[in-house]
Amino acid sequence: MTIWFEKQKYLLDYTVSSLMRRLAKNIGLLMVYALIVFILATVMLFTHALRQEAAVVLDGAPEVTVQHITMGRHDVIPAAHIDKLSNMRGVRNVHGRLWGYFYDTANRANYTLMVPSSDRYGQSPAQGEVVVGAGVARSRNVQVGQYLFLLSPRAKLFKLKLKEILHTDSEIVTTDLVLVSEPDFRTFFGLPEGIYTDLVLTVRNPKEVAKVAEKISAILPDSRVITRNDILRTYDSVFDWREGILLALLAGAILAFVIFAWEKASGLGAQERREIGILKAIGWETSDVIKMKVWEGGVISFGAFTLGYVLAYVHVFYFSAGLLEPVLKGWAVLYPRFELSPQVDGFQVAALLFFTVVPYIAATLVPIWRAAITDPDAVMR
Amino acid sequence: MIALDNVTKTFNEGAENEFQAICDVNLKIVMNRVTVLRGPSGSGKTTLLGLIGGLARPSSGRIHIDGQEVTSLPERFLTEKRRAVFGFVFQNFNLVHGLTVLENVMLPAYPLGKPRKALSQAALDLLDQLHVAHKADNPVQFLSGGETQRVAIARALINDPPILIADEPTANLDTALSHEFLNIIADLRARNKTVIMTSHDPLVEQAGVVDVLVTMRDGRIVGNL
Amino acid sequence: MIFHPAILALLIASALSCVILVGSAGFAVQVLRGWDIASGRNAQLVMERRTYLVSTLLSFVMVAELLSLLLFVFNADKMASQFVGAMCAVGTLNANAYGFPALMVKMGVFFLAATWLIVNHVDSRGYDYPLIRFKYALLVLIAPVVIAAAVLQGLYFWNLDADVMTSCCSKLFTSESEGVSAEMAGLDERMALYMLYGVLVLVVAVGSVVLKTGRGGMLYAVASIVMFCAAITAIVSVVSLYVYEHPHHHCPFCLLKPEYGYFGYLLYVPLFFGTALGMGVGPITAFRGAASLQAVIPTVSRSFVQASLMAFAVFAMAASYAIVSSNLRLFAG
Repeated sequence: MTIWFEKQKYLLDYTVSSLMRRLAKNIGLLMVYALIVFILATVMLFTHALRQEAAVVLDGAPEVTVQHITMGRHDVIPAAHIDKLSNMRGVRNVHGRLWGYFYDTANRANYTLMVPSSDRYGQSPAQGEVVVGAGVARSRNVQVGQYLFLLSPRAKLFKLKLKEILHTDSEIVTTDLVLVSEPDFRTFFGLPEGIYTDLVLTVRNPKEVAKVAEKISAILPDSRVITRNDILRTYDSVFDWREGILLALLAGAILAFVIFAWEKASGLGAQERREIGILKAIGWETSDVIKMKVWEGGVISFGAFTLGYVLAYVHVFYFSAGLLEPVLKGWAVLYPRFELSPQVDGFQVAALLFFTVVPYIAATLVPIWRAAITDPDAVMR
Repeated sequence: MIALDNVTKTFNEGAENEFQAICDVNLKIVMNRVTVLRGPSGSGKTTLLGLIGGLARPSSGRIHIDGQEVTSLPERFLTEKRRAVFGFVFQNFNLVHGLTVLENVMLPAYPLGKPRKALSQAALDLLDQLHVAHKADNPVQFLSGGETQRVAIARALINDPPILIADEPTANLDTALSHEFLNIIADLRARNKTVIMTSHDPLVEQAGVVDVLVTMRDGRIVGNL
Repeated sequence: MIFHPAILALLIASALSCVILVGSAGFAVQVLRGWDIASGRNAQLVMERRTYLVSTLLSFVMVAELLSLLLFVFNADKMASQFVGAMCAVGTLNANAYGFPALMVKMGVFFLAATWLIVNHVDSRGYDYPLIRFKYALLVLIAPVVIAAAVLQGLYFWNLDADVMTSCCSKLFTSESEGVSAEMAGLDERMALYMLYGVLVLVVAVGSVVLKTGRGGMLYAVASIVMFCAAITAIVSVVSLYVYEHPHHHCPFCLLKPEYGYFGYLLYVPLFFGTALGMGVGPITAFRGAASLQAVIPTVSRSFVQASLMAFAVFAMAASYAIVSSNLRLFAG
């Protein structure tokens, strides 16, 4: 065992000095390799962090949401349904939600106007008051204590005192929120009593959610039932899909890299060829030369992977992935400012290795072998 | 003892430029002696040297080293045998530029995985015997001709092989250094090593070191003294 | 569904493996027909040189296949959240008809790949390549299995549809349903434990014989396979109950979940490796008679058996720990 160990140390020694002797050629390869790792790692780290963020935030989403459908589109729902649903077995709690979208012509941005059903987002505003998300406050340039002016769809101007600005911690979901009291909301949109935007309910036994959803669809055939799981699965899917598409598009880059690696490995300089010939002549076997060259690939891979990954980590978590943000986040006027919490997933690192190091090794194995089978008596001629 | 039976070596077999370098050679190399293969350029002596030392395989015929047939040994085991039995000094010395003198000397022993301390000590001892130990940490590019040759010899001896093989060792040396080299050879013979050389330098034959002289011409042996 | 990084990675790895294997199979046929170590013919020398390349490529492929099985299972477990009705890998694998067959064939590839690597290792120690024909014949056998695994895996991922409702492990691993999984779940717990520890004792006994005398490799290989079957049965039938602390939860895949501390890996990884190493000793023992391997085979057999026994020991300790430290009490007194 120690013999094997010592031998590996010697091979590694030779490899490192060999790499140093051809520094220029190897630096070039290292840079390209690191770049590929950087791009892939950025995509993977970013989507993963977003995914985690979304999961945490969506944890607060309602268990079951019931929406009324008219002519295939989401419409307001009568309060009478609340009683029907409350009497259902397994349903614990039903209440109506009031929310809607509002286009602010001044800023050309969409706000979500909402009546808070709990104190989750801070204190509920009283009539005449408003609580907004950080994005709204920024774009409208208002501070707590000042007045926010909103022109309703019925061309009436609303003057609301800004009570609070929502905390940046939840910015990813609250940035475009405008929270008002129920009377203000109904007046703003001209919505009479007895009507809600949708209904939300909680279920006694979480395992029964699917069953309850089924029953609701049966009782209220003109409604759409959405469970929290549905939302989570959809987001998961979309993130996966976006990430995967990007990676697939990068397949072209990976292929180019593989070809580059093959070329580099095949293009042995005369000096290098001579060296291998000498090694063979003085007593190294073909397998020793192969092992040495595999170590070479290993050292370069390790260096490139580490460099690329660390740079990607810094790029994503300290510079918010500035280079790739537009593609991955979607397009919006009110950009939430939030910081992704740094996370590294072992599974992801493994997948990244598969995408970068494995193709590199595969591309270089044949050129390595070709170099290693140099005839030992070539040095004599 | 090394025995060659009916050995032939043909290059580019089947192609247009097919060329028979060695033809039907029968030779027995005696141990503990200095054997010189001489002949004009193109006589095949370097090729024969390569075959004796296991660097190449004959196209036909058999080679035995200490009774074991090595012609059909797979590369791995041939290399093992070669490493154990032969040490090579090439005409152009063929040291690895970029490595130090000490590293160059240790190189043939790397695949054996010997403990580093012991190996570098052995290498230093050899360099010391050849009076180049003071250059141990110098890169090999900056050595003089004579120093380079002595390092090459040290490298050839690191695995303590019983046989030293040298190809045209005095071709790139002046008279003084050539004499120095022949003294080293005499010293090795005194220590019961076997030496096989190729040479067409008259200095070598006249030095009084040579025990067996094999003359070659056009790929065949024409004289054996 | 295909555009999931882990799935893409698995598909790439499988594609690479297939390409390399098909190429190598062609070379394997050449070797089987014309290998003659004694001849100095040019064709023979070319073949000898090629074996360096082919052996290196194949070692790379075999190691990739070993890792690929792990990634496949890990991924199936992780993706469970995307399927309605799925709580663990069982749900993900049941999402279409190709999931479980793909897993089974991949497991087969794992064991064949490990065996090939062991045979290759021993072959390179003999100065006249004594096992080369066997090695390449084995390769010709393995190639279609690897291709089958790749195809099944590809079909599985291609047909993965998150809109399909899939079943949970509680439907599969219960004594009321049918099939092997049901049989294992339904086995009496006490019986399963006796069987597990009984086979373990047998394996240790045979292993000791090999360690002492250097003979009996074939027997040990068979014992390893028996151990594997007994261990899997025991896991489904009784060990899982202790891990979940639930008398009816038999699923062998839920063990892999983070909420159980990824305990399943501590059981499966040593078990698989122990079995693979043990199985590998069998074929090489058959070549005991080769002159060039006289000294090699007993040494190699011993070290592999030793490693295999250690792996089985880790498995046994993990399983015993699960039983002893659990809050569940299955047997009165």
